[in-house]
Amino acid sequence: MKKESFLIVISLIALFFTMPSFAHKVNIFANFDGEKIKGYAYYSSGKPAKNSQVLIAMPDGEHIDQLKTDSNGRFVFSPKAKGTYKLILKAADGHLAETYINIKKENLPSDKKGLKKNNLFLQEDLQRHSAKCNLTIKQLDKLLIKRLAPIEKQIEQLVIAQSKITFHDVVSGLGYIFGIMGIWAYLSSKKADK
Amino acid sequence: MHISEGVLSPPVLITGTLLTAGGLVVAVKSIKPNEIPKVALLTSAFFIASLVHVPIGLSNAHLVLNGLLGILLGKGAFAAIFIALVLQAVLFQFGGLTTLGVNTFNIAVPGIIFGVIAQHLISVEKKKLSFIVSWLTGFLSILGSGFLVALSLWMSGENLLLAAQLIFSAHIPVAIVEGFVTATAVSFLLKVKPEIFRR
Repeated sequence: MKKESFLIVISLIALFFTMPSFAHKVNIFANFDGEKIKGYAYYSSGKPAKNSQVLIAMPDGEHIDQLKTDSNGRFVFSPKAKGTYKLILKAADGHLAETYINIKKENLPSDKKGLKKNNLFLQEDLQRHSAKCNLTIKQLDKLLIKRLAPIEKQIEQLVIAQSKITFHDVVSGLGYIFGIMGIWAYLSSKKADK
Repeated sequence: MHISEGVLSPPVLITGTLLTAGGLVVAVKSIKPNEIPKVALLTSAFFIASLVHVPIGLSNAHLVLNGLLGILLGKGAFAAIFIALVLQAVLFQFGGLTTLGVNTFNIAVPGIIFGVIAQHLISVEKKKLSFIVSWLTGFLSILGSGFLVALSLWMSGENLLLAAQLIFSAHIPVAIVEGFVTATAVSFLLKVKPEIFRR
């Protein structure tokens, strides 16, 4: 009996040591800032997936662009048309992750109409609030991208944190195993009784 | 080791699922009622092992323990690995539910083949031989699984050479570590609970 309880204690201790460890799974996170699609490829540990292949399926459903992540696991892509872009992170050893970016026409930098529409809206807005503003739309856009960068970073960190394996996951998995095996043992003991 | 969803072609997925279904029937029949706690313990060990990162080389690979499961459970390892992979897919998003069949087959079969051979060679009297045999079982089971993964990718139209190269370079360090983990576990069990090897 002593030996068994010793084994159980050792396994429980080992369980705690495994917690900050890494696992083999890839993830992709991307967003569109009004000019470029910026993305980050990483393992479940949050460690960047360096020099990995990223495929970008264009909205027309035909063309596929190929990129490689840099040494920090990041990639940048400038979309030319509106629509839904499918980004696929593919490792040759059979791991894959994908995400979608939906770009509306008026959000594209090349769309003059969209800019004008936004501009009109802005001018109305400014008049209504009787504020004085000498910024052009382009300058404002640049400023916003700069101002929003820290928030973008925070969202990225949040997404990465979410994809990490938690202690909760591990314990619930062990619970399931003991539950399944318990039912199995119960059923086979009933059979043996008969 | 865990192939993701959307990588393999339908014929490969279907073949893997059928082979695993067959393997599961054989496995469940081979497990005696008094062995269920042992199966449960090793299922847990396999489930946790995938979180143990092997920090050698550039790889991002983890322990698998399929060799150890093969030695201790024989054919029954198929059931243990299947249950653990289902939970890993659901809770950790490792692999996927459609690739479950292929993944179970790829991981279980080498472990069972080398494990069953090892069962005949491991004994309390020959401690050194048991250590070497179980080291080889751990080592070869990983490489065998790596080979099957590369083969599944090749049958789905991927570049075999590239996939095999990547998988082997990532898994040789893991295979070496896995060999020592398997050998240590077997030697420890030979000392404290030798009756576990009697089948």
